[in-house]
Amino acid sequence: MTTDQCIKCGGCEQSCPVVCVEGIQSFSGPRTLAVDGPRFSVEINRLRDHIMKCTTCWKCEEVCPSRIDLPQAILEIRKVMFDPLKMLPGHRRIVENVDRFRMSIEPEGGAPPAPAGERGEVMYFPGCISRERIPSIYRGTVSTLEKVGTDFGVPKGWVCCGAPLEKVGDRDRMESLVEENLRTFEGFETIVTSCPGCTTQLFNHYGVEPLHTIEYLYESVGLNKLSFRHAGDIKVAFHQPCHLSRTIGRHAMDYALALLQEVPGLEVLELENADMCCGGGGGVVAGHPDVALDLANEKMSSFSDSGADLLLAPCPFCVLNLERAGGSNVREFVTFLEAFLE
Amino acid sequence: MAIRPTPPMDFDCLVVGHGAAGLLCASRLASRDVKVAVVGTGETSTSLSTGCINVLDQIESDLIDPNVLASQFPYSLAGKDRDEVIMVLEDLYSFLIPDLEMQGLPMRGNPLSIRRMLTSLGTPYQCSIPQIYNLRGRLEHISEKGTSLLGIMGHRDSDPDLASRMIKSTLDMEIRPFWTKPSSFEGRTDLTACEVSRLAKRKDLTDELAEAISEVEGELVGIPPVFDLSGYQEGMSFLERSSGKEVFELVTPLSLPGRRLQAAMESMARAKGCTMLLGWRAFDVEIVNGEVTGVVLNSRSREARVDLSSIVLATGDSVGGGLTLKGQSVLEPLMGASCTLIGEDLRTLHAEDLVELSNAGVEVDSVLRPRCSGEIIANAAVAGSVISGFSYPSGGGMGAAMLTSWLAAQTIMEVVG
Repeated sequence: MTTDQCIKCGGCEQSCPVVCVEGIQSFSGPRTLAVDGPRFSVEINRLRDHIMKCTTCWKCEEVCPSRIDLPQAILEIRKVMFDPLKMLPGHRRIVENVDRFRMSIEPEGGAPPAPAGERGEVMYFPGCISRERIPSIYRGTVSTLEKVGTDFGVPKGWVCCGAPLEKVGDRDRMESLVEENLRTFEGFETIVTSCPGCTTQLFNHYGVEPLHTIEYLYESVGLNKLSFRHAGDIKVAFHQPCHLSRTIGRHAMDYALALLQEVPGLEVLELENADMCCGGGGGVVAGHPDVALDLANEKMSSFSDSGADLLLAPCPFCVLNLERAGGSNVREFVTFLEAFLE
Repeated sequence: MAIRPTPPMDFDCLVVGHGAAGLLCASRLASRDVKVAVVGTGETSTSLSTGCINVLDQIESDLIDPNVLASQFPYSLAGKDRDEVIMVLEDLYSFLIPDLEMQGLPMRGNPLSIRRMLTSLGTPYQCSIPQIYNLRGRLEHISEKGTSLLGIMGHRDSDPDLASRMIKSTLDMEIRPFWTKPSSFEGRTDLTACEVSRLAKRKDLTDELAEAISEVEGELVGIPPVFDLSGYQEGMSFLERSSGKEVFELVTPLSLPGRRLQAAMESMARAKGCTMLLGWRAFDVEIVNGEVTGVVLNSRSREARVDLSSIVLATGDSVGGGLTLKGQSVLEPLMGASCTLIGEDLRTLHAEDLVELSNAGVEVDSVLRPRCSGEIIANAAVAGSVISGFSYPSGGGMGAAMLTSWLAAQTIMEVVG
């Protein structure tokens, strides 16, 4: 990958959600961090402060006329700069949690028991947040898979997918998780995930082709096999998670809207900047919670302008971060659908 | 890469490229009940532009002679005599301008007359159809009125001191610079236009600006771009009403005006019924016996092969990725359409060689069809700056690019009946 193809159009800075909300003094933006910084040896400590504010939303790569993979370049710099003694407190917590619990977060307990199954047609990989922080997502997804008649199980001994460690820059630890997980994946044909972060991580680092639940419902189950009861006239807005729409692909957004259209009594309202990052990605919630909260507030203000009753987000991390911004009307997409699925 | 079921993709024409050329072409086709989809990803040249439509880049007088247009490519494609050219231009602009206005972007002007305005750097700028608050700052209007420039401290597109010095040296006009430091910027500096437009959605910034405008000298005040498409009309008219002055916007590239035009054209295409496949990428076009039969689309982790009965190539120039360079050749990567050759002695990075390089592009016939492996492709048309001779900086401007896309739609309509 070369960053030398930069034509200095500034498109990445103009479209960067963190630059837009925090200002370029606080976050110097994709071009400075990924292109100019390494080239002109911008003082490493200044880079260190800013580089952890990137939410890896991949918007800059999308708008770049030269298609420079700026977020990947930023992740490479994080890897090079990784120093266990200089981690942000929140990032240190992630690393410690992985060492202690094999999860990026400390388990709170109270998560429902896993469905049995070390073999089966489909493996459900719930991810840390669905399993331990918002177990309703876990329950909703398990119930969805049961309702559509999937032969599935949750692999015994699965651990964090490692995506948070990649964002922190700790690749060695990440690789150890990859090896650990791959051993538990044996015997399953298809992998279904709830979290776009896990989906992307499995896709990029595990050599497998996981399906996000939305992809699974649309592609493997099929719209003709899904029937929904009347939703009782609810207006919803749809937030497009970065790691689903930009790293897994736009097809997932098309599928999501097609699924919503299947539910009678549901009206989907337009959400301004629907694909703008909510602040939940890139390790920013842990590293710079104030930045993540500012972005979440921005998203919630677009939501309140939309006039919808509920904001749907097919990503546990987005839901978690939006709830921090007082988003009591935020629902995880599949969990929401499950309530009407017959 | 898995090929799995994708959303229904059933259309008569696929337009590749979602800049001004692609969106205008698709909108015209959709308005004639052609089922059309637009595929594209990333920032377009349109959104990086000044958002003003110029019809020719080199003009001497205030009026463009239609006879001159009729002799120049691509206008020569519109007809052999001046009346035919005028008719096509009238059709195009009477289609486009009301729709842009409906989407919140009033643009004013006439393709055959030239307006002269000022850029954010204080240099003169000419075009045919500017955005309405650019037009407020046309040179004759500025010279008639007492005019000031108001800089917004912290807004990176704003330097009225520089602009004022440039205006003095290039146009010998005195326009005084003023500055305001909005407290709603909260001390932030070097704000991108997008940040400013976000803050401008809050009432305190627009109130502060209106007050600052009312306090500067003169009855006409120039400001940098502040509003995105959704806030443009309401915001600018609020500034005028509250300050009691006429307000104009300096012509500014790489900022909000281009984004406004891009957003308005996307909304127009949607309103006409185009399917927007933004975020998908076309990367392989199948050609059998001189006809396009299908295309492979990619959305990162999925591929979809779609049958096609026609295609429009509006992918932009080498900057936008529509053309790539290989050695001394320019290549069109999607269809492998024949491109103009660059001179063999092109070995330097001197200006004249670079102009030749940027002039290179896809060669088209008289109805804008490309040629692949020596054969004319019957059900394809090419539009915009991917065509030879249209690339910035030597192209004819957005108006010329739009004309090719208007005519490309004509070619496709004849193909799909």
